[in-house]
Amino acid sequence: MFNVVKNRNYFFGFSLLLTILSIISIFTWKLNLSIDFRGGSNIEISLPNAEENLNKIREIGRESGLKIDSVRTSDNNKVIIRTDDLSTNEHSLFIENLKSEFSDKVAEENYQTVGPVVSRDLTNKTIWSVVIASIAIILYIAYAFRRTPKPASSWRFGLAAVAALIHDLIITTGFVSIVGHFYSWMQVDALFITALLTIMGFSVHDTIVVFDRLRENLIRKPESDIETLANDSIIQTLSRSINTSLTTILVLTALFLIGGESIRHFVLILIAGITFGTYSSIFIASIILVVWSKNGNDLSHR
Amino acid sequence: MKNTWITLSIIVVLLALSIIIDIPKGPDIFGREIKTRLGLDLQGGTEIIYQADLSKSEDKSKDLNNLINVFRQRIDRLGVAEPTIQEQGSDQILIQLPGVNDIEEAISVIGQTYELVFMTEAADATSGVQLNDYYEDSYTLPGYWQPTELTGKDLIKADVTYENQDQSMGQSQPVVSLSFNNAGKEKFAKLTKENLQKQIAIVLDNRIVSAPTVQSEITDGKAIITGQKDIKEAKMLADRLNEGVLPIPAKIIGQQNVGASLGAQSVKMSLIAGIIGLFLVGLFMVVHYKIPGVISVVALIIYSLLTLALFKTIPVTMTLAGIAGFILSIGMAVDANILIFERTREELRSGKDVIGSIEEGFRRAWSSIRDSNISTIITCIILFYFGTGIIKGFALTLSIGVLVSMFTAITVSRNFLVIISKTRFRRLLNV
Repeated sequence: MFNVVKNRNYFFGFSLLLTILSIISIFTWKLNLSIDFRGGSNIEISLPNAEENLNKIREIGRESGLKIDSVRTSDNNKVIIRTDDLSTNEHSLFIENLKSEFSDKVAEENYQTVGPVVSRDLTNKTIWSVVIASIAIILYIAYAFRRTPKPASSWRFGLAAVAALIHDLIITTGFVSIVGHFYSWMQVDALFITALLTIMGFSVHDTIVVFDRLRENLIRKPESDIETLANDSIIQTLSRSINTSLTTILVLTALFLIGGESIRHFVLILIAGITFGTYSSIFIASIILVVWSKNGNDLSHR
Repeated sequence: MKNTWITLSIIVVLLALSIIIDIPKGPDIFGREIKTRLGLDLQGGTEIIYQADLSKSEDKSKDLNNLINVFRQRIDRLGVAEPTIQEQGSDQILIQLPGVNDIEEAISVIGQTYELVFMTEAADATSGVQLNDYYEDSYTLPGYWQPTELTGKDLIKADVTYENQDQSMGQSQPVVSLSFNNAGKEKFAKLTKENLQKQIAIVLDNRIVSAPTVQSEITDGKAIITGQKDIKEAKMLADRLNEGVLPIPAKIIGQQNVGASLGAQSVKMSLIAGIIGLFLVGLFMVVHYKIPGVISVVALIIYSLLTLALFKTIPVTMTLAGIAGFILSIGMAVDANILIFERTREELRSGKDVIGSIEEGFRRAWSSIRDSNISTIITCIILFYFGTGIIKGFALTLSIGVLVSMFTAITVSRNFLVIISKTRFRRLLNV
């Protein structure tokens, strides 16, 4: 059987590469932020022959005094117009002007305005919830694994799980940045936050299953070294890890293919994140623990 | 074995109950209609976020509550079914109006700055206007009214007090007492002097809250309005008056309007996709795990019925994020089954008998199921506490889903395995 722990440098290398690529992409290509995060207005209208009328719409927008960021089509007969934060009057003037140009053919499907206060709130609250949730996870795992025999300390289980979790979140965000660079529908909006939270839950869940096995093996065979036990635990939980992720990804793929455009980006982020989450719970979380325990032992021997 | 049958009958009772609740036209249980609540992103409607300017306010939470009350009264006038009006943070008010598509009209009704004015009787339509009742919008009070200089700005506060009106009856009556500031004291004195035995209308939002008759000239700036039926009515009047004392300016900082068709489309698509996805999961489980796979499918169906019934009963407002939480919890419910089966398999391989393997497999899988799910629930509690609306919805459905999945793992999957292992079909469990 393949030895995951012995070959750990390949996995560390691979993860490091993905993490660096993600960070580079996040800083150079940035994230395609929706108005949920940067503030502004989003108007979605339905209009036949939308493609031909884009310039006309831009012109009407200018005449109505709007500061337009972008105008794009979606689904053939829909136009999405992104502008600065609109007041009620500016919005109704623009819609009136559109109606007088295109008569009944145009209809407003969706309208959203996010002021700077709301977008700042969302950003702050998101960061806080992720940070506090991570701390709570470390505390809980440290508590739940408190009977783990030496050399592994239960704190290390918690920290390793959260390290794997941060790895997943960075790579998923990098993925979103790369896809968002090429496809405008991949936006960072409130659903992106939901996706990250889901991935968080899944990643920790997966990691705990592997750790639980390691805990059991440590108790059963105290004479074996942690490297062997970690590898045994990974192999023993492998079919469960893969089967569980596979079933979840089956549901998500169905949602991706026919779930409609409004949640397509959301589902794709989930598929990517759950894939990385499964990968890290098998190949990263446990070997962080092994490397850490070994180094810790070496130090104590000196 | 006896325990197994007791658990089984509990499952059957719960299942029957949830099927009754899950039927689309839910019955009236607990005194209200049980039905699925859809969030704005799924059924269409309007969302407005106001920020109140509380810089001049002395009691911020009370003033914010007053503003919420004003909004609620106005929204009731719009005739919206099941609106949401709630405070968000320390100075924001979130308003959700399902089914309302004309955002401009909604804003014009909700967002007008409110003002409390005292009006006096007018002779006819040229010198005055006709006004409707504050609580009953269709009722127009008799007579015409003209504004005076006295407004809510002159009022310090209104209180509910008791007055022993009739000593012989020994009953105290709830009344509303008003106290005016110095400017108000003079205006009110002049007003009462000129309008003796006439009505003064207290008008909020162009609607009459109360129209007491002046009994005497009042010069000390303290007035009492009698004639309230009970403490509740007196309190309601005092609340309205206090809302008018300091009009809180509020500005819109966010708004959203989701077309109904867009919402309906995403519900339909997600539903179809969800069913196809679940079918594939079931297929995978049966092909891979054979008989235990079939058990897990039954457990998953029971799981879904129980969870949806809980969502309807609580009730949980379903949004796209909420559906995501539910899907994730399905993943975790499947996972619980997979963990149990994988461990049982291992025990069988090590040479134990079927019943022993199931018991041992479950026992060993349980610590994984417990620890991973508790960490998810802890995360959910934190997200629910700190998160904004969308995060809250996600955390709520996920935590309910995870709790139910732990329950079905202990009861349904385990007991079905045990029952089958005690029949002649036990051979089939040798996966």
